[in-house]
Amino acid sequence: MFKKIDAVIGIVLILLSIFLLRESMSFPKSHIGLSPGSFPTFALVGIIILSIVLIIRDFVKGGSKISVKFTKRELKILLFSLGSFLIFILTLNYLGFLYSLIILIFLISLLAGYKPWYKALLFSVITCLVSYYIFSRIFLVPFLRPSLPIPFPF
Amino acid sequence: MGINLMEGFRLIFQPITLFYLIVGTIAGIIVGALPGLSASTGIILFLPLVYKMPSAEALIIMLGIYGGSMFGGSIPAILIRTPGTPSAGATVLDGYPLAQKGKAGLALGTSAIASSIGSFLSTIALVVIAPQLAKIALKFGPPEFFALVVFGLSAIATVTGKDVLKGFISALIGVILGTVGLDPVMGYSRFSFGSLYLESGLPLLPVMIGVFAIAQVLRDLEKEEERNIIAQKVTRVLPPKEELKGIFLAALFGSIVGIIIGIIPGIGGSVATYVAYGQYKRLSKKGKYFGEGVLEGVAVPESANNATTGGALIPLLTLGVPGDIVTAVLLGILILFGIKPGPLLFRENPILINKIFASMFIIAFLILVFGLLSAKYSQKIVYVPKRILTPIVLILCIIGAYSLNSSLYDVIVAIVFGVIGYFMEKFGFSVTPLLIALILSPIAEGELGRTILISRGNWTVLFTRPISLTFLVLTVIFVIYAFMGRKEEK
Repeated sequence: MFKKIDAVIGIVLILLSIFLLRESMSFPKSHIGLSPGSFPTFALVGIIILSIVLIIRDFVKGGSKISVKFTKRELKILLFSLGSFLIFILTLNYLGFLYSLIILIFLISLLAGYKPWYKALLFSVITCLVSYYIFSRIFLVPFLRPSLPIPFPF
Repeated sequence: MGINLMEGFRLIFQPITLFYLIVGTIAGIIVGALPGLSASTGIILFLPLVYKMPSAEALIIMLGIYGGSMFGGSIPAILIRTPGTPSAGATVLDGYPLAQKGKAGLALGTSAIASSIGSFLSTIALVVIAPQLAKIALKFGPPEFFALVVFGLSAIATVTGKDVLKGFISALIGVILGTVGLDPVMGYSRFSFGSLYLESGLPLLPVMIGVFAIAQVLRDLEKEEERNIIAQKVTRVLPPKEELKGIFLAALFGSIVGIIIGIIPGIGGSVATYVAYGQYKRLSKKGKYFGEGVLEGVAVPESANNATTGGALIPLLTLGVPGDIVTAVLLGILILFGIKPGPLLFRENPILINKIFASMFIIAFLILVFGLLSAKYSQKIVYVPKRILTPIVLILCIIGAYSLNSSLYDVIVAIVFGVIGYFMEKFGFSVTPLLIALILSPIAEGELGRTILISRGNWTVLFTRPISLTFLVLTVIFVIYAFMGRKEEK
């Protein structure tokens, strides 16, 4: 799986660097001192050169030394956690910080192996409520409140 | 330079400051003892709690966590053969065999004594060397600082991670990320693509929370929980009198190695412990028994990793260049508090320096006290299950990222960089050079800009001034050696 992963990464980095290099070339030139594009250009050229070396090395050595393997379980966990983060971000404006955080932590607790689900839910509710209380009351952090008409404890 | 240790102690010996020191050290021991949480992650997770405190007090807590975690890492290394932090890796070699012999308490006691000696001696080195180095650094101009940053970055890129080439790519990506936002000379918006958020640059701390803590959460979720580890019973903690001389000598040796390696940018505690352990094994009469469970085998790496703390603070405070990843995080925090480390800090803010120096001595003492006291309870710390620890770490990450500026954008940045950090490690790219480059990139660009200005566009000034030339030559030697050395290793 992903035998020439370094070569793939190298190509992606080169394409990204070329795109950013075009951007930095369009920055205005300064007559005194360093132009806005000079420093990034230097770094981007460096990335392109090193990425070419990475690609060549990958082909010369017949594949990457690192084994980037995702087992079915790992892939499931990764996708599930990314999905949980996405749900958190998407619900923030509607449910507010506390409820979205409870949902996120409940999902992550299940992924971390908390069983049964209702204990995971109880754990998420308690830890999030305590953390929310400490940070909002003691450290005076102004958390986002729900915009939907739902009951809110604080 | 206005260094007055007694003044520092006078300021530190306030009940509230001592309380902060104790909290920091205990928190550090716990963080270090929890496998999967490193010193840098611990410091980042604590940042939201200290963000609104005065800078000196916040820094004192962070230093307590730094020192405490270096010792704390030895607890699971001894009890369950799993180093709590990367720099406790060498402690496993003799710590675990000692535990198997029923001497886990003695190993933990030795670790506390050696860690305390390492911290104490490295603080002496810090107090002696830092002001002198700061005096020399006062003579540095922009070309010297630019060359120094280039050297520091190259050293970090070559040493961290298993692949030098990927280390450099990671560092250069960090440099590019550091240029996002308004440029320092003309105020031109770079790589912001019309986003107002990006115009002010990438927020440093959410990026740190992401690449260290959230990426770690993702990695922890992947791992199966180990249920069959049997911890060893902790009984007697204090080593017998006849063993003390050997332990002190070993700790002295480890401390010297740790201090020297700590000063060199990029190498850090992990390398220091293995170098010290290997060399002492060769020199000591008991060397042939190393690996079978001797107390000196615990004392050497534990003193070495704690000694790197003071060593790594020397380039951070005097030159503004971090010695390892934890000091890189500390640099980010100092910048957040509006403190610019460097030689001028010693002249302009001697109170802070005095407080730092004095608190480092107290931390060395607290490591001994709480290290010995915690030995009997250490099994409970080691066994916090993943299903509890991982969600709590994530709560602290999310609330931490949000609370810095009460901004959802910061939370999104932390999550995005968490995913980036996860994939980078998966593909063999160390995130350390990226993060350090992200911090140092604006400094390097600023110094280079000033160099070009004062030399009226003459770039060769970098090669004609002896100190900057020395740093640049050292950079080239370091890079060539790193590439050649790694080839030979293969």
